[in-house]
Amino acid sequence: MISQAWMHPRGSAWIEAIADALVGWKTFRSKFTKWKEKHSMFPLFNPKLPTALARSRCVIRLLAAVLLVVSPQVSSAAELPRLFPDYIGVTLPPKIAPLNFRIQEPASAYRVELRSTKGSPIAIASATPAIRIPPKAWANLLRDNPGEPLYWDISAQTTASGWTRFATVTNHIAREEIDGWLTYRLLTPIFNYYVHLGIYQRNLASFEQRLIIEKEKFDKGCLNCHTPLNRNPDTFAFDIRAYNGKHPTILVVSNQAARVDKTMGYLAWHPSGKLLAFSANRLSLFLHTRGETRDVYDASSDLGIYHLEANTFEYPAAIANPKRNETWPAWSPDGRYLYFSSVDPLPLEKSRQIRYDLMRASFDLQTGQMGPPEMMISAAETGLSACQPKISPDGRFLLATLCKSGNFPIFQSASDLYLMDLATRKLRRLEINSNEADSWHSWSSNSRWVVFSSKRIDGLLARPYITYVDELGEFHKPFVLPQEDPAFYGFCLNTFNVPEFLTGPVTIKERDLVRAIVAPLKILTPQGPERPAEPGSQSVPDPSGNQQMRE
Amino acid sequence: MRQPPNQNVGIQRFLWPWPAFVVGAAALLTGSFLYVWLRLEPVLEYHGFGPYFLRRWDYFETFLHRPGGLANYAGAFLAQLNYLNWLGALVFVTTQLGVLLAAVVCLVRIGGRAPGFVALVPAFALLVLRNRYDCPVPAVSVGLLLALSAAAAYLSLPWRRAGLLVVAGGLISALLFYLAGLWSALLFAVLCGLFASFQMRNRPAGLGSLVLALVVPALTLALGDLKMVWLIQPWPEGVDGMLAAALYASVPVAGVLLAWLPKPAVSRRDSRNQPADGHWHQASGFGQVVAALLLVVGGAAVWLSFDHRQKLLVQIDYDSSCGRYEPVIAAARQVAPLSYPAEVRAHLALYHTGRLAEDLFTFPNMIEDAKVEGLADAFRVQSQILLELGLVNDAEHSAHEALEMQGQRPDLLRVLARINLVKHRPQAAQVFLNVLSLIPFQGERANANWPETSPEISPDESAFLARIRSVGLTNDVLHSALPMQSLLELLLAANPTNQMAFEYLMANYLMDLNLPKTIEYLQLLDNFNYPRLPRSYEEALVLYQQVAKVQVDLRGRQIRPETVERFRRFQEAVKQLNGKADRQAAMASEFGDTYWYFYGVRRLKRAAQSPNATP
Repeated sequence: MISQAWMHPRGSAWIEAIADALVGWKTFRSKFTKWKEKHSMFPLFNPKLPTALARSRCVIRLLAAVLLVVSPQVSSAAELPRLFPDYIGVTLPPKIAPLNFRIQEPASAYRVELRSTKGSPIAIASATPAIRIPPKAWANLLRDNPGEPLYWDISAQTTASGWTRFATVTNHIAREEIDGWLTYRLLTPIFNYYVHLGIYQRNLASFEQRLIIEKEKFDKGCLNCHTPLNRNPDTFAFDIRAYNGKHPTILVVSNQAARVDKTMGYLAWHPSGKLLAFSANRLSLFLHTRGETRDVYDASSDLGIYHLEANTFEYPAAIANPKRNETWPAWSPDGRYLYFSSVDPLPLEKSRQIRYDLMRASFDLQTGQMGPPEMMISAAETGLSACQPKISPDGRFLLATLCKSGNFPIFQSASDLYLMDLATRKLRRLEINSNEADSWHSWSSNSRWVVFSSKRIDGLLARPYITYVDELGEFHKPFVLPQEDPAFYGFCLNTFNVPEFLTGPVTIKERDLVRAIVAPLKILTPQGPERPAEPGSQSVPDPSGNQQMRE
Repeated sequence: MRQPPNQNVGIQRFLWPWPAFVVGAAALLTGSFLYVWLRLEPVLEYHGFGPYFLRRWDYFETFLHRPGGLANYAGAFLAQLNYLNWLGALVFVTTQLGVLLAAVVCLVRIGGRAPGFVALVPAFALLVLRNRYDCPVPAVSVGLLLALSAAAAYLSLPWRRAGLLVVAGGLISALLFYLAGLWSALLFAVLCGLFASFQMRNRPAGLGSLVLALVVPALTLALGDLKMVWLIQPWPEGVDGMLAAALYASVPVAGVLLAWLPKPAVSRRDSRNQPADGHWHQASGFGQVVAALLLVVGGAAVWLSFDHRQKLLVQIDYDSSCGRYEPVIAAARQVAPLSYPAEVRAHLALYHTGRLAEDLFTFPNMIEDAKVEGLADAFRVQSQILLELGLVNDAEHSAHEALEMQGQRPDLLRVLARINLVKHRPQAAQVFLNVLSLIPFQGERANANWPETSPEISPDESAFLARIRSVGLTNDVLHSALPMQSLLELLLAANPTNQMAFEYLMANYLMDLNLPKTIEYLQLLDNFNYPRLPRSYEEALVLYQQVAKVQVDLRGRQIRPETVERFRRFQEAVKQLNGKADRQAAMASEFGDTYWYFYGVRRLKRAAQSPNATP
């Protein structure tokens, strides 16, 4: 490795060293402390000396600048640095919280410069591998450089060989905005019993996380999939399981909460906001003795439509076929199709052979008529089970999770995201998939960003990843939701599920949601028919019966 | 302005000379220290009930959003010092001392005279509370100490206007409400109110103090997200509400008594200097007897309220987690009835000392079906046993259930790290180890080299992981809740040389009184190197041959003649039983360590519980 004086491409070493000294006060102090500890002669010093020096920041800065300039023997490494989280080669939205990270290279000091075409570069010096980017400077840099590359120059100082500069990390700043907020559920990778469980929202431009509702506030029951209408924060729905023996749905329309005393599973808003498609499932959890521990069996399911204005529901024959199990409803953005997963029921013992087709049925909002189901992804052709369809808001793409079997992809490491171009009906596995479960995906309003849950970091805990989708429908390398503490994901035992974009923050207060559950001002009891009877209906081997899966 | 009587009672006048009280207090504190250190053993509480403190901002943040959270945070931190017995005892006694001094000052100011041994009541109540292993005393005592200290400092100021005292006190109550919860705020307000009522002779001000203290809690309840249950119970789970109420109420009640009761007579010598305010040591002989009785009764209350069974159960849990199996077996013999987790740990200890097949039925307390006593503990112990058996997925299931219910306990974090290592998920294991490293005193036992993705594994740990992988199941069976016996059978089918699975399966069948299955699985004995037929199998075999009237092919193994002879005597004893209590006792004494006795008694008990069953 050739040793050379370290010269920054955009400035002299002097300027860089002084800048480092100015921002790297803590670095210098840390070095000084280490040096002090190392030299046993230190007690001979005047004990007031360090204090006096410390008080004289100008002197220290100058000394630091001299020190750093005199001895910056830096070698260049051709390799990229190892970063955690992996923020190398990713595409960022113009408004996103700083991508704080840890440099996984052993060294005693680190220097990072972030730069793009316009604006001031950001220089960071740190005595620890944790790099925290100043939020304001970061926001300005991203704002000034949409559509431009974002370079990260990273150097590390090892005691033996001086400074090593790694190959420049190149990320990209997209021109397209991302929706400002994200909702998700936080929970541990639980099984049957749950104590701590909540739905949260996160401002994507900062690290602010706010609580929407947590289970402890109403004691008994479980919170399930929160589903907004067209990413609108004022109108959404979520389920409660086993609150006083009931499984109501909480409906929030224009920030007015009501309890619907009707059990609904997976939900999908019609874009008009007048209808809510729901699944009625008989889910049960079971265990594997090898491989992935958990799995879900759906003994019987149908889809229904809830009419909000009339407070009625129905089970149209096309989506509630007594001979099939239908689940995972999703409307097309124009409201003319309802997409869903569908399968012939099989007993639990044959659960590995349960593979869902992905179908759609046409729908006319004026007449309320639903057309016959149409095959979109055939399990017979793919050999996989298709779940969680989501149509991009521009109507071009269908994004779904395909897994080996069953209907709960997050529990299967082989679950992957697949994209279908609705114009050509061509299906492809996305390159952004990992060896672990990739699931729970959701589109942004402009169809240019997708958020999904992935267990790629450790195989156990799902984390929210954001990926950019370009005009050609290519998915770019995703990045994990940035956190203020770069080590956050190394310590977080919670799993993030059902991440959904929102155009703004949910403003309804938690206590209003809790009141809607425990003492609602408005209770809706929808009228409608019984679920269609199933000929020779399945017996459910699991006595736990009507469970709702939570991860 | 008229000076209210006794308002300027000086505290220092009561602090010295006061030898009897000082000696009594010193005896209490010294006794408390020794009692907590040597008898209670704080490390048992630490292991059994935590709470476990995490050195992270987001952990701290969780305490900020509810009244009393900060006191609980401080309590959680102090609870970590229970890791060392002497340090835990020292923290407790320091708290006790603080409570005692603050109580003395408050009582002096409110009662206008020396409180005497009444001031020791809160310290005794604290000790009674400390007797319970599952009670988070540090959290409760921090709130108490805050309120008493604030009141002591506040009441020591030279107040002249009752209105000012009440209004400023209301603000401090609001602060205390946030810091330590409703009861601390109320305690402070009540003490201020009593002072205003008795010493400043302004009862409306006294009442106003109480009303002001309730304003902020009421507003928080009405407008905020505070739940009534959190308002009433600001402490972590496990606090005995009655005892805590008694603890918090003890100082105000004592203050009222001191203010109302007639003051004791004073000696001629002291009457020259202190005409109105008597000292306890100057009181009558009757008073001294009462004080002595108070100490004795308090001591007896502490001694008698100690739950020895709970200590043994926690001791079993702790020793088992440390791999000290002989003490586990010794403690398990003393517990009656055994809890389910303790029984499981006793089985594990027997297995690890090579005595599961020999000594399983030497525990008379295992005849009763063990009580589950909390699902979380059951899941926790199951996770450890299932992992050792090689049922990795089931162990993971149990560990996660326990983690959800019991929080981030060190033993659970270690088990989950191990499980993830067995399952080839080192990064997930590292997350659990990272969290473990945040718990004080646990850093050394965690691999804190994050973000290295491959944790360093010691040779012992490597061997353990290799063994688990080698004995684990090879096929995937779908189930929602398979009985333990079925899982063990699957393990043995996959690996017939899994000795732990074999011994556990045999123990399960024996305890379930399933003789045919026991005999069926005896054929696997050839896979293991037992020097002779283990005792419990031998006794089951003799019994089975007698009941089923068959001869079992032992493949060259012999039943010892003394076993046959003892069984003959057992049968004779059974014939002579005829419901006579003395013979039953004699039989228990002679045959209580045999499988036959276990079989007979448990069968009778089951028959009694199930009227349709034939005895």
